[in-house]
Amino acid sequence: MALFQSQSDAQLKLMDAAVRMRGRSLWQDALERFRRNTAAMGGVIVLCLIALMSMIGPLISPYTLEDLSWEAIGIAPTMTNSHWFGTDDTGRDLWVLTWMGARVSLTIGVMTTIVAMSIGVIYGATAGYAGGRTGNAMMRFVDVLYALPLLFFIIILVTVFGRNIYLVFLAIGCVEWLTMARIVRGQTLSVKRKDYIEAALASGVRTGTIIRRHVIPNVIGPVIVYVTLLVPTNILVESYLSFLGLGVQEPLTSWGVLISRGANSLETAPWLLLIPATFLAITMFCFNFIGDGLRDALDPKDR
Amino acid sequence: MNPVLTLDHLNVSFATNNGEVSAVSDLSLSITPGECVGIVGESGSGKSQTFLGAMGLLANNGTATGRVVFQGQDLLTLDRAALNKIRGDRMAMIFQDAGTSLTPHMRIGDQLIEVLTTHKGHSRQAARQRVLEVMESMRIPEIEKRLTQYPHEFSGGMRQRVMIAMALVCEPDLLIADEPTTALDVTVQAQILNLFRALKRHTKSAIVLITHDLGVVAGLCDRVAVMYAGRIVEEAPVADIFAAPKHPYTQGLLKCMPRLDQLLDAELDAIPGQPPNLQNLPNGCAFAERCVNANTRCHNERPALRELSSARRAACHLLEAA
Amino acid sequence: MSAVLKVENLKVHFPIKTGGFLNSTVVPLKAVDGVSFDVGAGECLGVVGESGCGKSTLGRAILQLIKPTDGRVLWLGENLCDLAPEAMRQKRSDLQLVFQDPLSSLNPRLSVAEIIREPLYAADPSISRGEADQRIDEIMSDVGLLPEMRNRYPHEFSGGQCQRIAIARAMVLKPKLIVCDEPVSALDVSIQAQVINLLRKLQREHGLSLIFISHDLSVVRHLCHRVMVLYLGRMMELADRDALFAKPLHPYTQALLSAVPIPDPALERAKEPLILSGDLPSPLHPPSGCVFRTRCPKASPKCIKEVPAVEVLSGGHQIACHHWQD
Repeated sequence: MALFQSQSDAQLKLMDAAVRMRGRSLWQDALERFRRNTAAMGGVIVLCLIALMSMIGPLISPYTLEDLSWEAIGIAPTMTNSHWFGTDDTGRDLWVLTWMGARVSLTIGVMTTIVAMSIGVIYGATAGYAGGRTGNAMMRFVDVLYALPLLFFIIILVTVFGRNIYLVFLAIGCVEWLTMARIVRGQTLSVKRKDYIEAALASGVRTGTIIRRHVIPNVIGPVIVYVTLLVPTNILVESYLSFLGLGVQEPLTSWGVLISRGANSLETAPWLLLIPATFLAITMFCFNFIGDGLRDALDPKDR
Repeated sequence: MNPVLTLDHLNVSFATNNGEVSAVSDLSLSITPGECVGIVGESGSGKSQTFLGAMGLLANNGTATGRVVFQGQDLLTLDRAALNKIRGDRMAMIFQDAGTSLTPHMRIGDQLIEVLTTHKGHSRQAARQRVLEVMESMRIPEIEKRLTQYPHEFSGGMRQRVMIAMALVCEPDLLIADEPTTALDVTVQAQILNLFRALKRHTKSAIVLITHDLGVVAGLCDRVAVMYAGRIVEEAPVADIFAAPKHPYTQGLLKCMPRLDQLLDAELDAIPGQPPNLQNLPNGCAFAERCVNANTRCHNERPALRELSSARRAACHLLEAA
Repeated sequence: MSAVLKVENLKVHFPIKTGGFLNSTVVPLKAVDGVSFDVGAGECLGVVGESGCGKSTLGRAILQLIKPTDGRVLWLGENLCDLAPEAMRQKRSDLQLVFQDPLSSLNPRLSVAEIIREPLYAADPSISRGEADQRIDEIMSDVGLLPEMRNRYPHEFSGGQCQRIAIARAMVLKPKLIVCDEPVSALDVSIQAQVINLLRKLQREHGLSLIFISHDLSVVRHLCHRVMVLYLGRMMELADRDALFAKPLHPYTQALLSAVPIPDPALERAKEPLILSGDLPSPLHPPSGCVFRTRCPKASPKCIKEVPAVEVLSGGHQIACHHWQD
């Protein structure tokens, strides 16, 4: 006992300095690493600017989405009459269109990803943790859905329910969760073998709590990375759909709609394509930089 | 007698995200032909990195400075090709995990023969003859059949034998064994240790045995160097270090182990505290924090490794005072 | 000493698929095959064996983390194998587990306090925050951790300290039995001694029963009252510590003891080691009769044909060998 006492005394001395420091969780460490990543932080800042502009951009312009300037059809970007990004072939102001399009595109990107993430994480974690026959059956179901072509699925939805922006959220989300579920299941299978899961079982912790406290926090890292890469993918998917005329409906617009219409007048009015396309590209870059930064921050061993 | 290997003020450090970490500091040691030197230390003491650094096998972010003289040549100045010629031929290394050191898609026999044909320029026939000889001395049953098998068909103990055989086929002057029995079961470890004992009797090569197990050292080594936090803290002939350890760390290490041959019906004499963080080593003696007798000098000034008698060295201020 | 835990003829077989795509068959891997023993209150039972002897599986089967194929695990007279999952869950506060790898047994996302609090909430969801915190502080100082470190995370601790956290988690519910699966094997020598002392202290102060699974006979000799030797899922010998180490009867125990290197050059070099030939057979295809016969110096034709029965000698010394008297 005496010896033990002296041990903790020595430890006390050793730990004294360290104890004053509050513990730093892995999340805090990751955040610190992320902050030091210039490209990723740049991505965050640019993305915030774009999001901010999508909110206030249409307000600072004298025009609205419905205004058609008969005297200024298809003019190039100019400072003179507040058509900063020029106008399209019906005389609508491209500045307003671009930022309204940003609203729709970013919302679709984020919302569809949230849908995909919620379904994918819960489904994948359950399938992975349950394992055995249940897990296998759940994943075979995912395989079957994978075999359905996305476009086919969306065309059916649109013909049955009509064109509707919420339907686009749902349709994209319902397809993209499949990959998410696979990722989460794979991660769960490896986390499940960890001793701390067995320790929790041995302590009598209930299954739901184990999934919530031990499985999901430890699989969420790769999920977050995938999510940041999924947002731009979904923005692109919406662009394809709009390009094919299955996306959002006029007068509402999105970057995909703008690009598809701009492509028709590439020779006469190139800014109609170039401006929204540039913003789309910048957004893609930002998300990819953020995704890379998060991966490095959350998984420092991989570097 | 000229030493086969001399480490002269060897430093090994690693560049990490949190700055430079020094794994081995200012380490000097020489090994004479035919002797068996035990390098003892806990994880993080730098015992493996010392010899990986000496052989040019450090991870990409590691650098070794100082001098490593092997048979008159400074290994640290040699290029990769020249090093490869020495490694595996005149100098061989055995690792803890034999499974990962063998190529999984080549037959064991071919891997062994290849060592000889590349290093010694033997014909396949002559090489095969030599391999058979060595395998027989390793007491591997059914050698002919074994040679045509793949590594995954071998058990852990067998793979370690193959590794030893591979290290020995070229009759190296220096054999470095890094925890050769740690991954093995006790009864298999006994077999391998027995092999090492026979090896010591029958070959002229010097052996460096890196281990954390003092029992293994007691049975095999002639001389022992104890490492702590990247430095040698004590060096002595094997009998002396067990009979009369001088450094407080060595003393603590010997006292804190439960022993199979003695029954102690009391608490073990544990060394308090934890080994220091290599990123944040103290200015004084690295062991001072855990040393019962440490004084202010120990905390402020690093003790040098001094000669106590002709064959003994230790790094401790307390020994100086006494 | 009354037995708190009685294990009777415990068997754990895993079905393993072998063979190719067309001719695959299922072979049972007999990880534990008919092991019986008991553990008294406040007793430390050492379980010794090499890799593949089933010692870890045995520990998990006792705690019902792996369902035993056959046999009974009687905890205070009640067969744990028959309990429904919820009933077993409530028993878990009595029976705990400490793992070999301290870092992987702690969830890296949770702070020390959260890790230790978890079993408390699992056992009693209505426990107040204040009481839980007090119990956490108590147990932390009990295992030699400063309660001030409660908000720190596992990666900020060394291996030895992580093992103390794991022990605190196991101890916080005041269990009656802890299964320790190689709790010091992953630690450095100087840290090993600290953790061994801690386990010894806790065991004595709390009257704990311990099942101490280890491959290190020196540690087992220091810590345990009785020792059971396993080989390929079967019990070879079970005896009081002093009897076993002074006069091992089974040829396997003898070889095991002689294989341990002694940290004393004179003794170690003078020793005539009893070296077993060959390697451990695959548990998938264990030898017929006595599983140890392929490496046993005393093996005879009888050993090939007959599985040796467990004999109980005076002093409760149990042995399974045809030739122990030779």
